Amino acid sequence: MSLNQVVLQLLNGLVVGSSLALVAAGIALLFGVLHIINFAQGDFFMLGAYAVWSIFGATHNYLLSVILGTIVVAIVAGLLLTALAWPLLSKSPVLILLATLGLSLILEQLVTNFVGGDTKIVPPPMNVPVNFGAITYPLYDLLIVVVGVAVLIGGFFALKYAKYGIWLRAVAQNRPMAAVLGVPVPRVYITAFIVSSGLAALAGGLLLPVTSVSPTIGADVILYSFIIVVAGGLGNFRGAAILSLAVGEAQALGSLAIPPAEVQLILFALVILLLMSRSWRQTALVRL
Amino acid sequence: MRPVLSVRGAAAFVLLLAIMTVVPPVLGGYLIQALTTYLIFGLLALSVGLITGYGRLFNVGVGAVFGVSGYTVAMLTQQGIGNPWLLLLSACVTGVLVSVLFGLYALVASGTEYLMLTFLTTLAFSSIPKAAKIITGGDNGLSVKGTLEVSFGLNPLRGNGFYWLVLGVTAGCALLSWFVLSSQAGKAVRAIGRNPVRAAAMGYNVAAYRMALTLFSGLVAALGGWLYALQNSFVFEGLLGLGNSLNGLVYALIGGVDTILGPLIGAAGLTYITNLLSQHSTQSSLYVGIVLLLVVFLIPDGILGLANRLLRQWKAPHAAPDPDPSPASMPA
Repeated sequence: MSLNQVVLQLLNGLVVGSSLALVAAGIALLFGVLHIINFAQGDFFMLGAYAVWSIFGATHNYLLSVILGTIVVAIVAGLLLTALAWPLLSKSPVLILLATLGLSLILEQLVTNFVGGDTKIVPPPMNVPVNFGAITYPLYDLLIVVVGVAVLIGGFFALKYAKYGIWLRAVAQNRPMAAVLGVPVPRVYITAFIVSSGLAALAGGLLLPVTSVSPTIGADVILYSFIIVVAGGLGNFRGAAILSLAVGEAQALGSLAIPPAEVQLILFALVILLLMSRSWRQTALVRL
Repeated sequence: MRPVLSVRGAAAFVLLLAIMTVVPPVLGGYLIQALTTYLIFGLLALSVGLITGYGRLFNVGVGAVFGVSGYTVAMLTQQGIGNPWLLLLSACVTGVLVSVLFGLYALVASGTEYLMLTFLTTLAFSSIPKAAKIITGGDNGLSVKGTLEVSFGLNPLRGNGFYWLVLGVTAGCALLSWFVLSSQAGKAVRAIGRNPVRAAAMGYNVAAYRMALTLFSGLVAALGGWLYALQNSFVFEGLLGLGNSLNGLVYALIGGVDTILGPLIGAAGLTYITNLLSQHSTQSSLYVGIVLLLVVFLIPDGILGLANRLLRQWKAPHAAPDPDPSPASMPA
């Protein structure tokens, strides 16, 4: 393999990694901070992509479609998720998992009914190539990298310093105590649900020209995101960011040497080991 | 602690077993094949029910055990090995070996971490067929070769013999579960599920009991995978994956995880509904989603849990609330 090939794969890995980071950010918010496992997150990605596809069909303005589509899906999906999860918050997290699984099945079927099961795609909004020595790379893909990195950095600082970020962490740590201290708990939850759904929808809209969309895309999307969020550490945006890039690069570079299926298998094994060793250290004090 | 096996439960079990042994063969037709399928997925659900209901560990990876056991049967028959006892033994051994992994997870993690580890495991196992195409057939799946010898000469598609075999294995697993859980060790397992810290303080070896429970439940799932491979003469990567694993958990939760019969009933009920709906419309996943939401919001302790609760209320209208709430309705 030539040097050019390696550089090309490095760039591909960067794009895949940032797309993963975009999807993972929404999951990290819910799962990492509030310990809610949302299986419908991938379907919100799918809804975002379809929203952009249909608005683009009407307006032919890509930027407008992404902004409008993200806002619409964020609000609708966020409120849907609130309605679903709110009554279950004091119960087992597994019930929320099952409820979102039910929601995911329903959404997939409804979308298939309304827009059909075939794949939809829009043309890339900017057909501008960028030259790196002997390689040319589409500018739009690099833009995804920028947005992905920006979202992760923004999320990190928002959780740490913004009012809602601090409230969110307080609620995650001790809900009754946060409520007593004056944190508006319901508002914090609704905001978290809307932001998380919005991140998924934004990712769907941005990646639409690169990946295309079909009703079942959600399952593939959340798979890696869950791995990243789990392995990166719960609520750890920096860990999620580093791992997204590492996973993207490992896939891209690994596939130069060995078949993708084996790369995937090795990746799973590594993440399992990582998670086991982390849990081992965390429970060391209370191990039974 | 509620007894695992009450007199009423035993009577119901014997009656159910008698009816299921005699009536379907008399009625004949498609019913036998359908019931065989329900029972096989019932084993998958029972396996999850044992870990989740009694061990209070949420396992979403049981498909890995079920699928590996099924793949073992197919791979061995592809190599020309047709001895049914050897197939049974190897399927059980490989299945239980996979569940050793789940046992290890239970040693280092619980709660969400355990759930995510089992989640990753089922994903990892479902990517194995693609990575090892030559021996597993990759995306195309793998058929079970050989004559009827592989299933003890019983034809899954004809006659009642195979149905009785499956019914016998399932009833045996249910009885064995009852026996194990009512024993001293079973009581320890349930005490650990309820409160591991307190049980450890009382001197119970939490790690060993959790491992034992996981291996036992792995054996149940492995038997299911073995029977599945024989019944369908075909295995595919979906058996190892998240879909099958989640089905197991959903069946168990719908039926009621704190019971032995619950997962079996849940598997039969949901498989029946799915088959029925997919015959009459293409909207089956829509309805399964709705059923799931209804169960989560209306009967979180499952159908049998609901039945038990109603029965208690009917017998003692002002009785104290259930001292032994199901894991699904408990706060984390």
